[in-house]
Formats: sequence, structure tokens, C-alpha cells
Amino acid sequence: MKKLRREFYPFLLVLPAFTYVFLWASYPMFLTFRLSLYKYTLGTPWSEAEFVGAENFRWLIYEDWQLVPSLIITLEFVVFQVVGGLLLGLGIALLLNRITKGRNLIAVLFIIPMALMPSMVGLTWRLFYSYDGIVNYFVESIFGWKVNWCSTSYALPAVIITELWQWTPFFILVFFAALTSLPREPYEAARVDGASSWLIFKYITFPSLKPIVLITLILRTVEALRSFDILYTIFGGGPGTATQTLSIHIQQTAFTARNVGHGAALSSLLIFITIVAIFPLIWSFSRRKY
Amino acid sequence: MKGIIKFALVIVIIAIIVGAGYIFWPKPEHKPETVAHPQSVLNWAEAVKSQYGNMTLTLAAVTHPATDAFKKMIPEFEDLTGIDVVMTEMDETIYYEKLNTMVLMGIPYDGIYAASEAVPTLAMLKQIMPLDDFIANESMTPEWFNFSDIVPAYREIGSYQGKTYGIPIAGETVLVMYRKDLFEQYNKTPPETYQELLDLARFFDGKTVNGESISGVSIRAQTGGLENTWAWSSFLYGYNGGMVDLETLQIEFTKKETIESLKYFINLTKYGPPGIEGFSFPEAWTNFQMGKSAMLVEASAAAPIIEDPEKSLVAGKVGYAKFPRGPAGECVFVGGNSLTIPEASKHKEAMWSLIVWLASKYNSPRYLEYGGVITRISNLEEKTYPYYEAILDTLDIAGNTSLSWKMREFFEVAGFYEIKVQVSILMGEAQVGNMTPEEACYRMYEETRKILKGY
Repeated sequence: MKKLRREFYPFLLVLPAFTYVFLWASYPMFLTFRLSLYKYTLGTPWSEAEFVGAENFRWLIYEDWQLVPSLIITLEFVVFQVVGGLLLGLGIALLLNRITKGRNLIAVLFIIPMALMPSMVGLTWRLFYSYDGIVNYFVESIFGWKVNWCSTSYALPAVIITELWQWTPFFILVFFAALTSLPREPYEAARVDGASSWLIFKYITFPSLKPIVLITLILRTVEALRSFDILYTIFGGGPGTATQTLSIHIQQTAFTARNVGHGAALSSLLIFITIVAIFPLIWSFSRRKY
Repeated sequence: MKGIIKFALVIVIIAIIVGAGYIFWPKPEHKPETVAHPQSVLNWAEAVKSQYGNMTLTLAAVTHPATDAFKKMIPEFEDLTGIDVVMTEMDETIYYEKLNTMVLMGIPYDGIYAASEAVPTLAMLKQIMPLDDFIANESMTPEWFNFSDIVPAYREIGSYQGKTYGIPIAGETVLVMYRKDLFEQYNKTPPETYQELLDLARFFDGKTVNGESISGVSIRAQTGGLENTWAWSSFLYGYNGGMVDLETLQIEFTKKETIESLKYFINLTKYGPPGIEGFSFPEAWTNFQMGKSAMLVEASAAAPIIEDPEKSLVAGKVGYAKFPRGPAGECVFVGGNSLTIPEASKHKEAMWSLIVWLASKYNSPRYLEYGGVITRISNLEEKTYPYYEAILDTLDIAGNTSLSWKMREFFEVAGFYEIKVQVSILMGEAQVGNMTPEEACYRMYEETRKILKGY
């Protein structure tokens, strides 16, 4: 009995937090799923909603011509943003770790982009990307020509650059904090043994950072999948469908076109994709022994 | 420990600076302008005060020149009537998204803006009240309000099935605004037909003005925000094309004329500024205001800003022409915003008094002086501004051509918003060359067919 109680004790401790998170996080999710079973036009009374079963999911699979393009764009957006942010963040954090004076101040400055409201960032960068904007001023100064950022070729890279500008500091700060907390002894021993900087990074630094890398990847992947504000404010999904990610498609379907049922079915799909995307990361994280 | 003390000290110093700034920074004063009103206005204000004084009205507004003008007019209303007005201003897209969710529980404002396409839906859902009784009630509506002075075509934007649901506060038509100086320099005359507009755009595109290359025409063409659909609509009906016929529910996207009009629109945007695919109305206006385009095809609401020397480099250099004639005849969009009263409001009569104040003939000169958008015949006839004549000519087309009426009827088609989104996205695909105009139109037909099947 005592043993049983001991085994359940940790679960009891976690239960209040679990209940809180479960109720708050799962209720909107269930509500979304419920809405996906109805035909409901936004702006009409709920009494006019009609139960249609899986019809909205049938529409999503067989009739929504924008689904596959938006999934491809979402994939490109997430991969470039997360991997790009990770590499840049790691590189800058390593450089920052080498600086001895004033690095804390620099680290604090990196918080600024993250502290800004994404929609304001989007609106500001929208101006920056205009043909006579500041970005083209620098591009022209360096290369002698201007770029039409609002074209199908450059719109998605433009949005990814903005997202990287805002969210790479997240990687930098986390990696920088992790790097400063690593023990010095293995480094000193490696240097005494004559190891190069690359070998030190490969065999000491990176393995030590792996748990942090996984956590940041999980967090940023979730964030990137549901990213909306910057995409919406810069190009609103256009030109054409060049920046129409799944989240933009959901917004257009549920709010602009006012088809809540279709929008909820798409949202349910996004939740499913998010779970599928982060599951390998969580699994890989949980099976490690640290 | 030392570090913590230092940190706390910094926080305290920052708090003191911010606090002192808040206390001592000169605050903008919102003193109402002192105007000597005639006795009839003062009597009305006194009557309103005795009935609704100390009440608080809530007004949901869209970011718009009309709203800026109202902000200057409301303090005086508050002063005269004792009624407090709390205005919530939102970007148009956000505003309608919020409004749509509010409908579920009843709109929690005493007054709301409603654009021409929103009035039929809100009226159909009984979310806004008909105002005809208020208009006819002499004790509530003084003579100086003068409803009949509002341009008939604008009155239509606030009505649904013969009833008035909204009082127009910003009437809009589409005009061609052109650089008079450049037209004179190159000996050109304003366009009278769609073809002439295209030819002029082609002619001016790439011309050098003050050492900088300009584009032929600025127009909104953004996907997603439905801006491109709005702009295309302006030409669609002049070709005798269409989207959906309200009476027969026949889908008209595959009509030859519809396809031709889309081809025309895409051709026209080729002579626009780089990045035109991302142009909503602020970008289209700004481009012209900065002198980077020879022409602007836009809502008449742009004109006051274009003529404002503080905001526009081309103020005083712009000519205004009525919307050109299409191959099938003349047709022009009429739209705009109205002030409406939600059915759920508990202060309907008091809200009406605010509408009377803001939209009256008596206050209209001041409203226009503050940057408001014209709605009244008497103001237009005074021809105070260079664009009034073009607006009058355009309104003549709007009120008297069947094509213009057909254009407005499309707002009442069930599934209107879903169709518009599909059209906007497919049109965007054609604009950037991912589809031909024919392909885009056929896809529009297919998607509309699917949408209408659900209604």
C-alpha cells in the first residue's frame, strides 16, 4: 500500500497542473473540432448552424484546391525559418560566448526584436520591403539593382527573413545561456590534448547542447506552424498565393469567406500536423538519458 | 546582493522618469471649437440634453477620414448635450471580423459603421434597425439634418429592400485622378474610355519626371484583402461581364466579356508600380501622392488627401475625371460607409441624436473642412474642391445606368463573401502569371458553383 502510494504521489503532484492545462488547452481544441462538424456562416446566429458530420473534412480532402499549395508553402516556411534560426542562433551564440566584455549587454539587446508585437513588425517590414523602401536602398547600394519583394519569387523569402529577424534572438539567448553554463573542465582537457576548435565543438559543445537544441526546435516548430501575424500584415498571403500558409488559409476561409465549418476543419488539420511534426522531437527528447 | 540593489535602483529611476513624463508632458487638449449656433440647433441640443444627458454612447468605427473628422466634431456634441461618446476605432478588416463574431450575441455598441456590402447582410439578420421612423419623426430629426440633401446614390448604400438602415457618412465613387502638369506637358487629355485609360497608362509608364522614372497608373491589386476584386469590379460591369446574376443565380465568370475584363485589368496593372500585386488602397494612394504615377484609379475618398499639401507632393497638380466608359457602356461603383444603429443597442434614440449631429447638412461644411468625405448634394454643387465636378458626373452614371445597379446587387448574393475570397485568390494567381485569365475565370466558375450548391 505504501509502495503504491509512493508511486502515485508524483502523479498527484502533477495532477492540478495537468488538469489546468488540459482544460484550458483542450477546450478550444474540442470546440474547434465540434465546429468542424457544422455548416456555419460567420455573422449569422448559431441557431442557423447545421450539423453536417464529416462533410467539411470531405471538402478539405477532395475540393479545397488551396490545401496542397498552402501545405507546401507552410513546409518551406517552417523548415527555412526553424533550421535557419537554429543555425544562425547557434553561430551567433558561439561568437557571443567568445566575447569577454559587454556580452550580457549585447544579449539583452537581442531581446528587443522578440519583445515587439509581431503585427507591428509585419507592418514595419512591409514598408521596408516597398520598392523604394530601406531594404532596396541597401540592395541597390550594394548590387546596383532593386528587388521587387512583392513578387512570387521574393515574397516568401522576404517573410522568412522577417521571421528570422524577430525569432533568431530566441535561439541566440537560449544557446548563449546554455553555453555560459557548460563546465570549463572538458574544454581545458581538450585544449591540453591539442583538439581543434571544430573538434571541441563537435565532441563537447554540440553534444552538451543537444537537449537545448531539441527543446528550441519543438518550441519554434510549433510557433512557426501557427505563425500568422507577420505573414498576414506583410503580404496577406499574396501575391497570388505565394505566402499563403495554412494559417493564412484558415483565416481567409473562416473570417474573410466566413465559412467557419471549413475553417475549423482546416484548424483541426493544423493541430494534427503540429502534433505529428513535434512528436518525433518529443520522442527523441524523452528517450535520451541525461 | 550589490547587483540586485543596482538593478532595483535602475528600475526606480526609470519609474520616476516615466512617471514624471506622464505628469508633466503637455497633454493634447480636446476643447470643442466654439461656434455660435443658431437657436434651432441650441433648442435641439437642449431637448437632447434633457432626455439623454449623462448617458454614455459607444460607437464602433473604422479607420477612415470620416472618423478623423468625427473625432473633432464629437467633443462639441458632448459639450452641448451632456452625452459622453466612447469611440472604438479599428482597421477595416479587423473591424468586420470582430463585427461578424459579435453578431452571435448581439452587437454590443450603440452605433456602428457599415460599409455598403455589409448593410444588406446586417439588415437581413436583423442586427441593425431601420431608421425610417426616426427620419420621419420631426421632434427627433430637425430640419437642419435634411436627409433628402444626401446624394440619392449614396442613400442607396445604406438601404436594403426599400428601408433605410444607415445614414451615409462617406460616399465613394471611383474616379480617374491624373497629373495635370504631365498631361499638359505631353499634350494628352483625360481618358474617356477603358482603352484610352490603358493607352495613357502605357504612354506614361517609364517616363522620367524630376530624374525619376514613374509608372503609368496606380491602382489597388492586392490578393487576400479582396482589394483586387474591388478594382476588377470597377471594370467588369463596363464590359457587361459579371460574377453571379442575383435573379437567375447564373454564374457569369465564363462569359466572354468577364474574361475580357480580367485580361484588361491585368494588362492595366502591367503599367503600374513595381510590387503593385501587394497594393491595398494606402499603397496605391501613397504612390500617387509621392508623384510616382501619372494616374490613380481610386475611390473619391482619396481626393481630399491628395489635395492636402501636407500629405501630398502632387497637391494642386491633379485633375479629376469621371470614370471612363467601357465597351458595353458607362458603369461605376458606388459605395462607402454608413452609420447604423444595432438592434441590441439600449440607447437607440440618443444614438440617433449623435448621427443627426455628425451627418447633418448643418454640420457638413465643418465635417468636410475636417477632412470628412462628401455625401451631400448641396456641398457638391458648391464645387469648392476640384474633384466635386468629377464626382457629380460619376454619380450621374452611378444613379442612371443599369450596369451600376447590377454591380450593387451582387452584394446580396448568398455566399457573397466566400465567392469574393475565391475570386480574389484566383485573380491573384492570374495577376502573377500562375494561371491565364481564362483558366482563372473557369476556376472561379467551378468554385462559385460549389459554393452556391451549399446555399
